[in-house]
Amino acid sequence: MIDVVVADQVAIVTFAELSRLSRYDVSFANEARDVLFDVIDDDEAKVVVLRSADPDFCAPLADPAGALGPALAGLRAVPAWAETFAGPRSLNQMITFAKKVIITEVQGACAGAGVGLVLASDLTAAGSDATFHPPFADHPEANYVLAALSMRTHRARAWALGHTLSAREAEGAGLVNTVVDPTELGECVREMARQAAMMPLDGITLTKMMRQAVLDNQGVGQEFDAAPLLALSHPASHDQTGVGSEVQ
Amino acid sequence: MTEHPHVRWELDRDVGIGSLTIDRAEAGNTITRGVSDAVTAAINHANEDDDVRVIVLRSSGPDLTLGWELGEAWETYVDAPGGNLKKMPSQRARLHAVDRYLWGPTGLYATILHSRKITVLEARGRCFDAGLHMALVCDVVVAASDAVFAAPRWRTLGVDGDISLLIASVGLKRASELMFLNGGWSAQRAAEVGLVDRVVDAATHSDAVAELAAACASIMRDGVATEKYLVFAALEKMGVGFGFATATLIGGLLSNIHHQPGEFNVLREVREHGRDRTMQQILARLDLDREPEAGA
Amino acid sequence: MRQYGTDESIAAAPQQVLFDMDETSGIATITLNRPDKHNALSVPMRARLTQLMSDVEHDERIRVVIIRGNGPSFCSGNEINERWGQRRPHERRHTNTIGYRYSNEMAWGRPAFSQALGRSSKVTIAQVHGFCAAAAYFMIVTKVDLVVASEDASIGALEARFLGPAGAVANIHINRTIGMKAARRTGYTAVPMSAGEAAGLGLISRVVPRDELESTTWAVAGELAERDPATLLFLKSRLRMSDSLLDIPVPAITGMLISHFLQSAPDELDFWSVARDEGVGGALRADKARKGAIDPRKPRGSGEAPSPPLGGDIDD
Repeated sequence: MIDVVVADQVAIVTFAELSRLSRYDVSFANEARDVLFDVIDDDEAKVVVLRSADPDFCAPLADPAGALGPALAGLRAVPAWAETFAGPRSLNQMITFAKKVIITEVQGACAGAGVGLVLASDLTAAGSDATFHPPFADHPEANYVLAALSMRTHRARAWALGHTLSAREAEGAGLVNTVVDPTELGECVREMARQAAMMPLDGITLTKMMRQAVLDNQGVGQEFDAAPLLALSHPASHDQTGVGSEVQ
Repeated sequence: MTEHPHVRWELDRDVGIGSLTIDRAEAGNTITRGVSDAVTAAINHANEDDDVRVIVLRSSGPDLTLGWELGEAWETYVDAPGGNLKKMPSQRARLHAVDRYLWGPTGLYATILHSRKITVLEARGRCFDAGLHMALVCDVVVAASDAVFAAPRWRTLGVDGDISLLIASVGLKRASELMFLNGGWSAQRAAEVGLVDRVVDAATHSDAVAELAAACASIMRDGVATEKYLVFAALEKMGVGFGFATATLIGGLLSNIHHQPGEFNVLREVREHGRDRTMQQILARLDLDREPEAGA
Repeated sequence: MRQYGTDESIAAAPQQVLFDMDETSGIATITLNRPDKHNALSVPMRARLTQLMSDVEHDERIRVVIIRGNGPSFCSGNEINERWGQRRPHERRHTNTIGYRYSNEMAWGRPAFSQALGRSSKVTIAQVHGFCAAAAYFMIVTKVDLVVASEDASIGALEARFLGPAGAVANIHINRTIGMKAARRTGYTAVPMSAGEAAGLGLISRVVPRDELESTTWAVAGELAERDPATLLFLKSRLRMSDSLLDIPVPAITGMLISHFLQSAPDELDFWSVARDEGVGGALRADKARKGAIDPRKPRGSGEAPSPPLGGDIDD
């Protein structure tokens, strides 16, 4: 369910049903991790585009708050959720600290885990129909520091507190780089990727290395590292008992 | 203060505003080692003069600067200690050069950033690479409406400069545009994203600079200086010192990269085809006629 | 996920990194088992370590993980002269991707084995004897919770002698573990620490005679394993969080394989070309013959020490 095409130094990765990540689907997360690890590692691709095959980039769940509880079951005994969704090999961290340029192509609704990918990527292009739902209440692994560094604190805070952003608002706030008509989105992203791919390969890896260091120094890494503890303090985990409860 | 043919310092002692002019318009005001040393010397000298309240940084001619002088880049490494023991300059020589002239404590940018006087940048025309960094290290930036900010050198090599100030000014995602895409920012766009303070017509540019400089010069010097030292501490806390340190390392390494077939090798191009042609090729990659951003 | 290494090294890894779990005590043991190379770690061995630590995260029965080594030493660091990610045919030199991959994915970075050890939700203990060099020093023993060592242990950045410090001075976690003075000294002189010295600096918590090492480590592990599991988990979570706030987990700049950029001067040893021609042992001998050379293999205050190989051939 993850399609990869590599051509002209650009890898296009197309997900289907990205909302499975919002539902904490372990096998999907592991598959995505394995695919992305190899794509990012492949020197035939200097730039990686992340997109969705669906009308919505990452559709909101019917019950966003309801996904976290079961995922955290047994968290006090076995931190499986943390290892898969909030650890160094999680998608968010792999993308944030990737050695290639990452571009997200967003149409329709972008909610939950999909927002994590937008925050983590270097550049984002959105169709004018795109909407950005704040993920922080239901996803302890979403990185708020990335939002604050992209949008400045008050805008990030207002967004986090529940204000869904239109594409234009997201662009104005600095979360999204460019907004185009949905029919032009693919071409726009391909052009961005073409431009980004002009940088020498070694130049890209050194640039990303420096970006990674600067982000880590600004608290992004610490926010990621806090996620397991944040999860433990989330209301959804309060019903879970410790030893002896169901382990995923 | 020692005279330099391409750098001029003029102080109006009555109002306490000094003008530091890079005068190398025939070469696009590109910054040579000599220019850099003269600018840093002038700022250090100004720092010692209690009558100076504001330093205005500017250039003659239509452009602020097209960046560092490409024609000297290779020699800068070779001339550094340990730079000529073998055919290629050693890594330590490259790092030494980057530290000395660019990102180290006595380099051009740290010198401006850590000046005890308020710095005002008069930005016009092409403000490329070093021009972008000048906008980031100066306290106040007044841009003429024809100003364009871009980093064409980054496009052909990799990002060899500090990004912590850029991120702190315009935000993380927007910083990536200059890092990875071929466009530049018009003066208007630069004001919107937080890179410049004010945009004015060319005709009123110097007046606008003088007006803002006078406003800064009217603030008590003890207040300004104390705040400056607080700022220096805060910059460290915000990771700007770290950003400069990584820029030194990455900049030094970027001069030494392996190129894939078809990739533009800036230093080799300069050696083989000369500085002018290489500059043209670098500038040609910029896509400055792009449609303005939707929503801009 | 792509696996790096030769067919041989990939096939050998499961036998070279052994795993055992004692359900009664809740103690798991990872044993490095490559005694002829003083347990030098190949890329597949490190990948296996990362996988084992990931498996351990999911196993409720395990409370404590001991990492130890068979043979004369604990571990001599990462394999030298190994290839990871071949150059593509048209590439004249290594790209930075090679260095980034090594450093970020295979050594220091978030996805790598040193992080897996340092971020574990289980208590981690290193049981150290003989040589604990290079990566064994700054990617294992400075990353685990506790270190128990025998009196014969020798710890340090021996490879700094011919590669330069390569992070031994700069890494924040080393500075916070042994203090800034010792971090500078160990990196810039390349002289190793004895067990006693390392204990004095705070890196090692218990130093015992060689024949008491196993039992002492087991006893230390046992005490910790008896604590309430939920409390232990909470404790490890908050310690990990604090490490993060102290900037301990990840180096200032991850992804740089410094050795790729370095150029030896005419009066310096070109380690890599000598090693290519004469093997690592030959390069070490050539290094010893240089002006000003101190034999880094002898810790201060010890008598004649047996020669260790440093991740390569023993005696060519």
